Amino acid sequence: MLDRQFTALADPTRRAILARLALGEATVGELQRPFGISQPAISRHLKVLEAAGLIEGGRAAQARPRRLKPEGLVAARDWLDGLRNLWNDSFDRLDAFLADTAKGNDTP
Amino acid sequence: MTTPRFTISRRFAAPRARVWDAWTRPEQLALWFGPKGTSATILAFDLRPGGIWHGRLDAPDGSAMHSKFVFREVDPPSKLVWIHGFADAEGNRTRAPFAPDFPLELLTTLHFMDEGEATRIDLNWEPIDATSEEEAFFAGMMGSMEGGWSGSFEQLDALLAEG
Repeated sequence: MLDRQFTALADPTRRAILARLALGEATVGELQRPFGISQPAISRHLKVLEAAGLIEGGRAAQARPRRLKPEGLVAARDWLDGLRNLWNDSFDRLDAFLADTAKGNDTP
Repeated sequence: MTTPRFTISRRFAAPRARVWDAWTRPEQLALWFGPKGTSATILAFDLRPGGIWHGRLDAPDGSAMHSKFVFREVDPPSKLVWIHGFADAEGNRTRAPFAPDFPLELLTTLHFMDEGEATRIDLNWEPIDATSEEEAFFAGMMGSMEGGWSGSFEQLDALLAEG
């Protein structure tokens, strides 16, 4: 599932769709207008987002408005944060290490 | 599509020789390398072009991940270059756990520069010989393109806070 989510999120149009849905549910037609791409193209993006567990749709067939599934993003984010923060965190820790060893505790 | 890259710069209040040592002496490296909360063990460390840094990171939840870095350039105390990737306990290259589309290998380039009494480090991280899927994954993940998906996360945080 994480793979699907990362792939889904790698696309700028899909991120923009998520950003739109964060403001409230929307139908395919409503999503299509601001993006200026075809309905089938929007539908394809929605399918990817749905398969990744990031959004869900209502039942009213054609119109079924899509909405964000926030919990879908949580697992992906947790795993990702560790890797994404590798350098930020390491640099913070190196900074502390250098400060500690400078105070007379000689380097090991 | 140009190769996506992640860059980070930081100024450290220590002379360059000390900062270099912190990066190149395994007993020092083990004390600070890795995301917050993890504990690093250096299993092998051979500081020369072609030499290997094999390590393990233990997370607070009891899980462990291995990595293998292969040095490409070692130019003390100015420049370090290595090929970065995940590995198994034996040091064989593996894909990232949970994320097969994370680039198999990343080129890591570190420059060490004097800045008065302090030292500045510029780090560049970019996929090497990557497929377009791997590059897209890396770009999305590291937020190096169009603000990445950090915007989505901010919205997510806002939503969760409301919920």
